[in-house]
Amino acid sequence: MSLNGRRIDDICEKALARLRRTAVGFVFQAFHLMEELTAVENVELAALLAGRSPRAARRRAEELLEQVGLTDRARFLPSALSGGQRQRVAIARALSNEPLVVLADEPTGNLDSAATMEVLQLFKDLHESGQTLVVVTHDARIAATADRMFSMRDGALVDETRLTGGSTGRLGALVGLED
Amino acid sequence: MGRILLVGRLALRDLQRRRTEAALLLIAILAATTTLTLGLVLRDAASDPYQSTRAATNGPDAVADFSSAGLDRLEKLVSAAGVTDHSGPYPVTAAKLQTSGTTSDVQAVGRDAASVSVDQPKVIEGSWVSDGGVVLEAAFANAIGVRVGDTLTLEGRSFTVVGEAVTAAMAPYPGSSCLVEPGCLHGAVTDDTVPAGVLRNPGLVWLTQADVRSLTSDPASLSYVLNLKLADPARAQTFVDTNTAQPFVDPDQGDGGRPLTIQSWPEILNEATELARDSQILLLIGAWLLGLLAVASLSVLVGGRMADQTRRVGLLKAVGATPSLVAAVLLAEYLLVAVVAAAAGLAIGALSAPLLTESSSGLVGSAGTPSLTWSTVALVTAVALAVAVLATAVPAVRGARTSTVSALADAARPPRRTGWLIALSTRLPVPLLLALQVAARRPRRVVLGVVSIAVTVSGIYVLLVLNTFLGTRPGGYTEAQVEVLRHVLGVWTVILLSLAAVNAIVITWATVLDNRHASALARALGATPQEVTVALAAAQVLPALIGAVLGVFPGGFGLFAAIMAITGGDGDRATLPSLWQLLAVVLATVLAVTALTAVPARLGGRRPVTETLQAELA
Repeated sequence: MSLNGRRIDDICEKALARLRRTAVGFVFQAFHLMEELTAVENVELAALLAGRSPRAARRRAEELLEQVGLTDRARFLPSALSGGQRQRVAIARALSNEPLVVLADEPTGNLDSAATMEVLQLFKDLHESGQTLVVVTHDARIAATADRMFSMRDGALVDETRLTGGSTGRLGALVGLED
Repeated sequence: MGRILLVGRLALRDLQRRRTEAALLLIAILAATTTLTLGLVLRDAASDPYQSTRAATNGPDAVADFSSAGLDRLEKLVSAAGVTDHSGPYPVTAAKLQTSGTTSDVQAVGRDAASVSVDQPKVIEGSWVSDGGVVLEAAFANAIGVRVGDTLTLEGRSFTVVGEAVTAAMAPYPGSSCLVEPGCLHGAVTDDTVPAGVLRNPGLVWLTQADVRSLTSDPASLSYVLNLKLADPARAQTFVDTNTAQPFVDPDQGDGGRPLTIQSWPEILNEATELARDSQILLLIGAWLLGLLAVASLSVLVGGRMADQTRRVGLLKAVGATPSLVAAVLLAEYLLVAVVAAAAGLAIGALSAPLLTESSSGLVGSAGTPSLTWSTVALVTAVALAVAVLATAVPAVRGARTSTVSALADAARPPRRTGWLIALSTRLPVPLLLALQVAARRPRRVVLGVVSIAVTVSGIYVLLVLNTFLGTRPGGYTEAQVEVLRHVLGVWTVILLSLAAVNAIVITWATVLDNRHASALARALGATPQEVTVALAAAQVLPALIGAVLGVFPGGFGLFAAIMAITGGDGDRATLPSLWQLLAVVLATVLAVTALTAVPARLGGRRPVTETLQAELA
């Protein structure tokens, strides 16, 4: 397994940790936010772990929250946010260290339709701005929004499909969430 | 019957499932019950045996001793107001006792072979005096290792040990009163500080009157002792005060003999039980400290299980258990642990108490076997059960009140938010950043950790002071007594440090479990296992540092002042620990906590990230 031309399946824990700080951002199905930290504190956490100064980390976190449309929720605890808002905070956190790739594991699995739309729109915006996203999903409609689709069965890659932006038309119509 | 069986089975199964927690719970309660038992047994040892001895020997209410020159005043004292009976006067002489490898000063009292109505020493082994036979005071015999049938010499003359006996007329060895001229020195004394002829820590032996007289060539050198019974024993001290101020005392006797001295039975009681009383005070203070530590342990353990118990309550209710049955199940589990801990604490306390009551071995009923009383058993058991009930009360009440659905859905208690700590953490290196966030999640646990270490260090501070104090051989204490008090301090130290170690491990482990998710998430965001390990350890070490400093001041100072206030001791005579000793204590505490938390923290830092995060979804 390689990332950016470098094998990563045989590197030590320390190197993996460095890799997670600099090259990879994670988005989880269950959000995995720190319940006792506010939205902005959750987002800046990744930058602080990467060694950024508190001031720079906070500035970056506020920019990202603005990017995901949560500026007015920056001081809220996760328990005061909706599912979609929590996932957007998680995405902002994943982007905190400007990773090469964001790995999203069933990012919409715990969301209702409206929140799913918000997240997919955000992914689309990120993709258009040049961010690489790897999304794991069981939902073929979500998968259809990607450029390339890898199918796995029993832990092995079985197929690769290059999609050219899917069919024409609006994203929501494509995934069957809108009429 | 079926319900009882069900309650018992559920309680046992849960204890089996959580063996480590059950063991830690047991240790915490056990430490407190053991120390409490020791303190209470010593309390009993400090008073009851003397009273038993007084009753068994028809002990005197006042004991008078004087030189041969004062014999003519005897009749006056015997007929003094309030005296109803007497025995003596008996001759007393100083002698040098030699046995295999041991030499000791003794006061030899000449007695009749026949029994008397006042102060007839109780023979606990062998027989009473006979010509050529010597009877040793039991504590003295024990101290020099002499047994009935052995041979010894007094002033070079050979005697056979025919018996060991106890008396209430004098405190047991080494606290004996001085009956002879030119006097005695008690406690630690060196050769160059002892005037010629003065006895050093003399023991008490009984011979026949003829044998005592044969030990000295000068009959005028003999002293005499007279045992008095009073009409009102409660007014013995008044009798003593009245009669020592009156014509019996003549310090300016022309013959140079020693003046008459009279000792009341309460004075002898005080002297007889001084060491056991000091030991008891130390142990009871130790029991309070350990009680605090036990409460800290239990709070962490019970608090950690609270969420779990709530879910269990939901399950029990879902299968038809009533609130009372649910409460019974919860209570039974803790009661089982408490009963075992109480029984073990009583047994260990009672078995180890003889090590600390050697001073009373010259009294009836306390020759190495201070016994448990029903009140001690009841009090220790009550304390253990109270702890169990308190630990169960909150989940039981919550269980009874919560609906089945809510109880089943109950999630682990969410972490708290301590904003200023989180804000401060952002300015620190990664391990400290994570450590501070760990602390900010459970501030109450941090406080418990600080209190636990502060209590321990306060105890260590007092131990240092007392140890230095005993090293100076304080007046009144012999080497053997110092050794007994060192035993007490040793017991204190071992139990205190053990429980503090248990606390440190319990708190760290609870922290590791609580932070499984946060640690995994930190690693998913780029923290290394080492950083997480250091963070989990630092989250214990930083409070330990604060606790250690607080334990020295004001903790140690305050505790020492409290002990001085309780015992009426003179704190000015004690040497307080030096600055380097205090720094060493703080440093050692931090290092010890680091070592104790290293393993659980390392385990916590290396938990697989993916499994932990996936478990949250399950």
